[in-house]
Amino acid sequence: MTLVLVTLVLFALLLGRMPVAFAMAIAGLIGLTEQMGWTVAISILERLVFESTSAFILVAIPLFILMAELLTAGDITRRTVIACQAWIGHLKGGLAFATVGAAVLLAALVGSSTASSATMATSAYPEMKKFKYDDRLSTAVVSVGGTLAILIPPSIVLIFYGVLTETSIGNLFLAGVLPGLLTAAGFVVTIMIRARRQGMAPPAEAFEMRRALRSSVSIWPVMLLIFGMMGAIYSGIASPTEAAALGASGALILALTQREMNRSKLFEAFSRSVQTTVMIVTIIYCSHVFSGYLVFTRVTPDVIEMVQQSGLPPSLILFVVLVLILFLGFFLDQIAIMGLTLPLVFPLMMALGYDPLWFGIVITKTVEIGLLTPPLGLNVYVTASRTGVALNTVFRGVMPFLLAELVVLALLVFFPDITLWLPEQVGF
Amino acid sequence: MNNSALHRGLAVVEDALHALGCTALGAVLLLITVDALLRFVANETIEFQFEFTEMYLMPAMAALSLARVQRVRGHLAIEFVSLSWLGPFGAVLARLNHALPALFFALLTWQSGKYAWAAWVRDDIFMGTIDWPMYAAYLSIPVGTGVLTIRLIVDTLSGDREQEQQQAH
Amino acid sequence: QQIELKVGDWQSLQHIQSTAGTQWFMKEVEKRTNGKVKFVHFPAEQAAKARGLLDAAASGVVDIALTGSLYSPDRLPLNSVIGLPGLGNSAVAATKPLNDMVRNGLLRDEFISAGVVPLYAYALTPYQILLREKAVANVSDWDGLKIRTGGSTQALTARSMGATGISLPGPEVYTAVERGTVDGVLFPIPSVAPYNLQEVVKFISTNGSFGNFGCNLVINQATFDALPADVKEVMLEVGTEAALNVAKAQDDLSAGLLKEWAAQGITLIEFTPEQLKAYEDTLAPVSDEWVERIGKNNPNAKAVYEAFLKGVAAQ
Ligand code: NA
Ligand code: NA
Repeated sequence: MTLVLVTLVLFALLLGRMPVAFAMAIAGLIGLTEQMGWTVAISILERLVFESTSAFILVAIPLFILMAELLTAGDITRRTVIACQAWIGHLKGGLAFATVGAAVLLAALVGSSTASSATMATSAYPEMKKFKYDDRLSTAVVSVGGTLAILIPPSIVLIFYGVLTETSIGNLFLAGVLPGLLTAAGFVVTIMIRARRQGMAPPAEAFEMRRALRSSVSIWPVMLLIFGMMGAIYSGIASPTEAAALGASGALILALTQREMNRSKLFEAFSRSVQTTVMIVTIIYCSHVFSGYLVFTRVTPDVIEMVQQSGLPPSLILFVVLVLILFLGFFLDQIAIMGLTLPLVFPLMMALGYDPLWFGIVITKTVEIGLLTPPLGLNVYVTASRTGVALNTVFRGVMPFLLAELVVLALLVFFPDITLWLPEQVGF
Repeated sequence: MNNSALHRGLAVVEDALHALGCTALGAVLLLITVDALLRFVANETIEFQFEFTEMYLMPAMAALSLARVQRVRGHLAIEFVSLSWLGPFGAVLARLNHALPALFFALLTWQSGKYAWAAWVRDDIFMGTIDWPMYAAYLSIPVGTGVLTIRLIVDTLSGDREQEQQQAH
Repeated sequence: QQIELKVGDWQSLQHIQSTAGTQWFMKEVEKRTNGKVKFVHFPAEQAAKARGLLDAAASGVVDIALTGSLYSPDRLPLNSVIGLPGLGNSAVAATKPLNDMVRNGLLRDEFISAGVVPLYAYALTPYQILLREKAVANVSDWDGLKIRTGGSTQALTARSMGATGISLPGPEVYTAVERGTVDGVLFPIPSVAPYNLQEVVKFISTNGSFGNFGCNLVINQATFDALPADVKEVMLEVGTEAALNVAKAQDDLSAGLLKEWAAQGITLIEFTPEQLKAYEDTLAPVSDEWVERIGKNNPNAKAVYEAFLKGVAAQ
């Protein structure tokens, strides 16, 4: 009964626009007080922050964020986009394809969707606008392309999932590769269909070898960084955490050699990385207060037992969970959704016999879709604000891509091998 | 002290702590990179790196910038309902959104502060590469959450500035 | 009337230390108190993280918790003695003196000051060296090896033999060994399988004594004081049995696993008595350093170390 009340308190606080982390902590503390009394409940706060943050494995989060921030500050991400456009921009719908291609490349460097969308909004969109691509197509490609960043490693969301569920982050990274590429393929098909419509994607500049080659010069360091990081991990030179540090250091050196770099941009990159990290770890320890409450109510084993005895097929439970997460995606950010649902949903899925790696990718894919759905679709917001195109136009343009996303999600659910094949081949 | 002096003073403290948090990130980057390279090149390690990163730098990075992140509205919230729909009730709710977390973080500051204090009084030492004093590892947490508490109280008193949200994104 | 006690630990329900230790203890106490005592079990860090369980028991978040001495070396400095090399060649050999000293001897006071009463203590099987490519026999073979170590005592141990101690978080160990980021790792045999390390190493030592790890089941002081005398008595009696039970179970499991892995092609390293003596001499400074550094704030450090050695030798 109190569990229902505490849950209602949580949702009331959330709807009242209290930050998700704080709402979870407050609702959790109210619940714990009811469970074990005031003095014992607040004793949990003694070590809460230290214990949740004093973990070496978390170091990868700020380092990967920093790497992306530095590459953007050094203008390297923008030039990657320009180079892709120079190579395939001349094809029918080519500038849109180039955006997807650049999104895949950026995804291998950037761990956050919104960061990726923001970059492409300022670098890929102007070219498409210049050649009179329909805003619905161009802004949609920028919005959806960004989501690739959280499936293709490195990924902050996958690290977050790995930390909360104690799943190998190295394996999660491998597991995300094929689903990420499959998603990109889904976007390509959608663009092909959309580009056939009159006025959607008018022809752009003709192909010019010299321009293409010249623009590619700036891609080499980026490739070097990607393959250097992969190489360091797979050859055993460095652990994944160390690879994050080496990647960020490489990005720092690369950025410092760029004309566009200056001291204030450098400080800004560090500042933004720390702020994003603080936001994420605050959700981590605040969700520990709430999940601590769930533990002591013993609701999780009760729900698992109820589900198991109900005789409902696991696939139906999975379906309900995914629909719920999609629904939360209408309102919430991906990290917040995971912090909120995993304490209950993860043990439930494991009890139903699902694979932790596979579920990690499926839930990531599901929350990724939430980045594109109204009313709150962070990628759409970022794209709209950076391009100046109306929010409604972007949301409307994204719709056909959402269909592709749902098809890909269904494929991932029905064919777990798409996710699990790569980790099985070279797994950690 | 008048209101804007208070705001300015608080912002100075927040920015100073944030600078420390950023320094911690710089230190993490440097230490891990050099450690990995040293091992590869010279079969040497920076022995204190792991313990220092885990016990000191990570908690500092997580806690010291808390108030600054709150100031720029960097903590995620559902941006679905507009408080202005709720009329005068919305204004109350906006204050509550800062008052309740202020209460929570005041408790957190008190409890984690007591914990750090106890470690200081007992002279708790973690025997690692060197003898690490634990109070210093715990200290950044009451400091960070303490300033956040003050920030939340200030925001409660001055009412919400809803339009300022999401600058961090 | 019925007494309900919350128990928190960090192992999964299938872990040998849970089945033969914590769960065994709970079942026996429930049985011998004729159901008067009932336990609610929160396994796998549900109640608190491994490092936070001591405080969780002290503050009453749980009534009973398993704590690792080396998880709280700042709060249990003398108890960190268990990490030293050369304290016996089996879990049973180290557990007997450990349990005595924690329950009634020089290691008890630290728990009382932390606000808990120790019910029993046990050691794991001594840490062995697992290597991916090259075996070791003599101390000199360790020269230049990159060894993943957990904690400073192990790092000292590795360094004393000329190796480089490398700190890595648990989840990254498998990859590090597989890809050769490290040449080897110090691990207790029963903990190898949960990390699947047997898949990526070719050599495992069987009779080394490269340090150990101590676990203690502790109960909140106030909760313990409020228990009826007969229940206290049963708990302490079952406690001593549980300590030996879980120690023996680990030794047996370890022997079985080594046999199984040898059959799968892993080469077992058995040090000769001369080699073991050489390791003992080489590693003596590690204990000296521990006595010196811990001794600065804890006058009993030397007495603790010597009593432990004597307890091991007495068997
Ligand atoms: Na990525
Ligand atoms: Na959404």
